[in-house]
Amino acid sequence: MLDIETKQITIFLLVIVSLLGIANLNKDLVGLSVLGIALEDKNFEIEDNVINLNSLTLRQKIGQMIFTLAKIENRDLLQEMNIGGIYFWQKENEDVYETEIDYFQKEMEIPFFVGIDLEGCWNPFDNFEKFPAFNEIKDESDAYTVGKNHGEILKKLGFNINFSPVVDQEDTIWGCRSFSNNVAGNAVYYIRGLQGQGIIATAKHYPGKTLIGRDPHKSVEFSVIEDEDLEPFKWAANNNVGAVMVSHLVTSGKVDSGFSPSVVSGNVINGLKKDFDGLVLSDEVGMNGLKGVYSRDERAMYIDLVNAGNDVILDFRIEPWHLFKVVSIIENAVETGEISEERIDDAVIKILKAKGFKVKRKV
Amino acid sequence: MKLRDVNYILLFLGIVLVVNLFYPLSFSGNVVAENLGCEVNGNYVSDVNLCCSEMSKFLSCEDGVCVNGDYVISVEEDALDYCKERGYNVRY
Repeated sequence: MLDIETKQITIFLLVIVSLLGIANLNKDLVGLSVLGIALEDKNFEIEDNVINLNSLTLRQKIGQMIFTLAKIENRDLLQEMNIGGIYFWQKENEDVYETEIDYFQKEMEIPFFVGIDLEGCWNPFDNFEKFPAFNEIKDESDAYTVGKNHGEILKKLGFNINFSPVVDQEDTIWGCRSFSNNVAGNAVYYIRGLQGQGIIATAKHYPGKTLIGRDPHKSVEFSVIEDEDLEPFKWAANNNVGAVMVSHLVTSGKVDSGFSPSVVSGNVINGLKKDFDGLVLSDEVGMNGLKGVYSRDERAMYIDLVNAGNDVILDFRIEPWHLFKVVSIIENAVETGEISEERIDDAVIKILKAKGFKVKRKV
Repeated sequence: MKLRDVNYILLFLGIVLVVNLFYPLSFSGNVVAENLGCEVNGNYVSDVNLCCSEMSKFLSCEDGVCVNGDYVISVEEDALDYCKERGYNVRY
């Protein structure tokens, strides 16, 4: 009798371990489904472009705050989780971009933000479209033309947000990412050209001084922010730039991050929000400046990112289980009171408005 | 080995696999991030995660060197291994 029971237990455990093995090898929607982890149904109330915020669950609202990589194999999961934005790497040609973006956006009631870095130095469309580097831009009229040209190709391919322009005053590493003179003026005209084509511009990286070489032997360096570093951001805000990206630098001077990376400093982001009411995006969270600080406490990092005031979190880890974990961390933090649901709602309202919706709350 | 012992092993394996599904465990081959970086347009960048992130943008690279217009980034094998281990989609 005991032998039969033991054999039955062995068979049962073999089946379970096999299924878990499959899930581990293929950590995607299939893997999660094997464990019966249900993803929530979407019952969005959208009429005449007016969306009822209360028709999104907490997890679906948190999903909107995540901007991740557009890996085609993850498309179903990204759709199911109601992820807010997808970022594209360089692709072979225009057709690949158009086809993949179309595939991602298919049947999405709340469309993805579709973003890329089409910047001063980095041109992901180098295979089929050439643009001048930002340090080659001569004047404001030139800046406007480049912005307009960037916007035209982005619009054509299906993008709706560009992580550009870089508005640092000095670039000692790349030498071509930022404007070589009149940074504030050129940035404004670039933004006008880009946003005139319906693409959201992103002034980065607040509060500046992010493109300067650093001493690799120092674990933490303070960047002293001056008025001239902030000027391009103020001008961009006054000219309705859609988004600002916040850096991981520890800063002092005119913007004091209080020994923390700027992106998790409420002081920094609240200061930004005094003059700016658009989207606040974190720089990608995988980089040393932030990751190094939170190496032992990933949960605290995501909570601090939300509480500091970021509306959108750029997280380019491509494993689907990681996204599931991030959403769960933030959801749990709301449930325990570490993050207020009002903070989440404020961010999501801005996101939905940037996506073209009017937002209401109806019980 | 008795069947009961096999069951204990399977149970342990099952627990490890469940944990690894949500919190991947690293057993070996960790490349340490310290002292790793890359060269961007001739200038050294000590943030290896930034290097990985930037390299991931390129469609193709050759022998750890990626070129896009005026933008040239190069990484050594150690940094490349680090990027790959961390799951960055670096093409090389």
